[in-house]
Amino acid sequence: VIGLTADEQDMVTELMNVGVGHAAAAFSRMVGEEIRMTVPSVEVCDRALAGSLLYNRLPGVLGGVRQTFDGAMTGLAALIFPERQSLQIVRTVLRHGDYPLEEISELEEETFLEIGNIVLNHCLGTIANTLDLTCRSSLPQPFYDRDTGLALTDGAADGIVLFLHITFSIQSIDSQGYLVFLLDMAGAETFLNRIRRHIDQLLQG
Amino acid sequence: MSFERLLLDALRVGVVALGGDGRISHWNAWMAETSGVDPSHACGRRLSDLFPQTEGTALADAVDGALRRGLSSVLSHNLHPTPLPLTRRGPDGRRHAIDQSILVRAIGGEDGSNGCLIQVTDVSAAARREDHLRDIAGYSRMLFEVGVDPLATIDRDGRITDVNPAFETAAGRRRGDLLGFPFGDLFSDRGEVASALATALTDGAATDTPLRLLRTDGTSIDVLFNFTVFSGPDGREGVFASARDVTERLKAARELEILATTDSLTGLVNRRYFLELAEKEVERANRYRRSLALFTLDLDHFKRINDTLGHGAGDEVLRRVAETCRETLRGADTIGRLGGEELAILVPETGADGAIRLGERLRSAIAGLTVPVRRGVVRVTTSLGAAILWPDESLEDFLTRSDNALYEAKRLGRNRVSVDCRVSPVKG
Repeated sequence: VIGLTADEQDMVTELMNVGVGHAAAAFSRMVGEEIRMTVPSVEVCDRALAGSLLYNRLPGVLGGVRQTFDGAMTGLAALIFPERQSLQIVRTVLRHGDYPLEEISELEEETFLEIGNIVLNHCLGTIANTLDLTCRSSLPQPFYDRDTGLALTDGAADGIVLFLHITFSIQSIDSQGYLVFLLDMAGAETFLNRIRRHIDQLLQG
Repeated sequence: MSFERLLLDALRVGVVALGGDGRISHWNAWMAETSGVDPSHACGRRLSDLFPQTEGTALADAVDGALRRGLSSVLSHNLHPTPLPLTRRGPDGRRHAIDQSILVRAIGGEDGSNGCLIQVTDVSAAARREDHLRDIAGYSRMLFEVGVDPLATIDRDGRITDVNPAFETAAGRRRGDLLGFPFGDLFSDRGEVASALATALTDGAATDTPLRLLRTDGTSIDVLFNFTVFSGPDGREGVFASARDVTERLKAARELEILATTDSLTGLVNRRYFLELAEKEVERANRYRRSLALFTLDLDHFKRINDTLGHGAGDEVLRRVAETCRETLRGADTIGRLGGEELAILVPETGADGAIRLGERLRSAIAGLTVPVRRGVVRVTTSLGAAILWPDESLEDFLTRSDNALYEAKRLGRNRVSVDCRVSPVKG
């Protein structure tokens, strides 16, 4: 498992908070309602541990949005919430009320995809901008089960996982979810090198 | 025409490709038909040249993100209903705005830079369908919420999955406490609930199941439940329970019954009900060969009390006499007011000697009464007649003999008891 120094850890957390901050601002403008998102903590671990963390911290059925990206870094990014909360977030944003339909509808799911897309794009964009990397993201896709969408526990156990706790608040709804970035080995190396370089630049600057 | 072009034009979605400089390189037939902009006009121009109103919108941001940073985006219909001014011809021949879903996909440009592909889908039908479904769901939810009858849904394991406010009120519990709670535990008879639910799940419904709902404050209410099986949105079966609170109705029915059988002045059984009870009592005594005495009782000179002291005094006297009779008699005896100042009493297990003694006790108890009225007190005497049931005698004949005995008592000077001690002329 790749370890991070305290400084590196802070830098990653900082980057992600900038990313979700931009996402929250963009999203608030879009729906005309204050939305707050924060990333209180980040953990760097391997896939197996990430799977275990997810399993234990968010029991029950999960819903999420994932995107792949390639370029300077190759990997997968995902935003994950307990299924019920995904629905609640969408319904609150759309003012569809809490009860009418039990299941998420096609167009509601699309809105959830857009919400995830905004968060993931802003995080990827912030990373790319700050660390001067270029990578291209795919369109977001929904997934509903625990880890098949993420392939957290499959054979390809190399690479690292950035595992971030995220809070999402809109109106009186406070949701707790996770942001997960899976990087392949080469991507992980690039990412960590750029983080270190960025810290050095800041220290010298 | 190029194969690529044929392919794009065959698609029933809008496809627009932009090069790294943001200029349109492809504009398919669907886009041309819905926007009214010809491909020859569109190609080489920017989106904002064709539609200035898109500048600064989420669509422009998404295109910018794709071209400059390689990020792909979804513009969901719910948040961006009509990013582009597209229309289509409806069945009425007029053109209607198209509800859109847009995907902006970052792609590698031929020169190594980013390009992007915009895909526009017409979701008008889905949007209408979902609006409609939401309306229906909202409407049925509203019916559920405002229903005055307690309503609940129960899963196959007998746990509550939903309740309306009327149910909360009836049960005296909050919705939060009721959800997941075993439905049967709310009632006095859990077995009755379980069997009704089992019936519903096998037969599709169980109707008019009377249950007693236990409230948290220790009181209870009587409810009639209908259980109906329904198929939930997840495909699983559930039971829809609708109740009617019949506590008031049962109470009213009991009150009505009392009203229909009781004389309101004296609280004694009224004539109609007395005759009904007497019929049964006579039949029972005949069948089991038990002795039965029947008294008829008339207050002496009652008309005089009414005339001189008023009806109020007469009523009070009647009430006190009725009370005295009740106090003198046993619980098994039935006292009825046949009308006016005439009472009748059925006394089971009593022969001629017993009737004489009992009649005398009644006579003297009533004669000893002093009833306070507005001016002093009033005393009253009574004449009693009695007969002992003959084998297989009808109630009518039995009453006639008792009545005749009463006339005899009157004839002999009132304030006395006369019992018909003759034995049946027919050997029983």
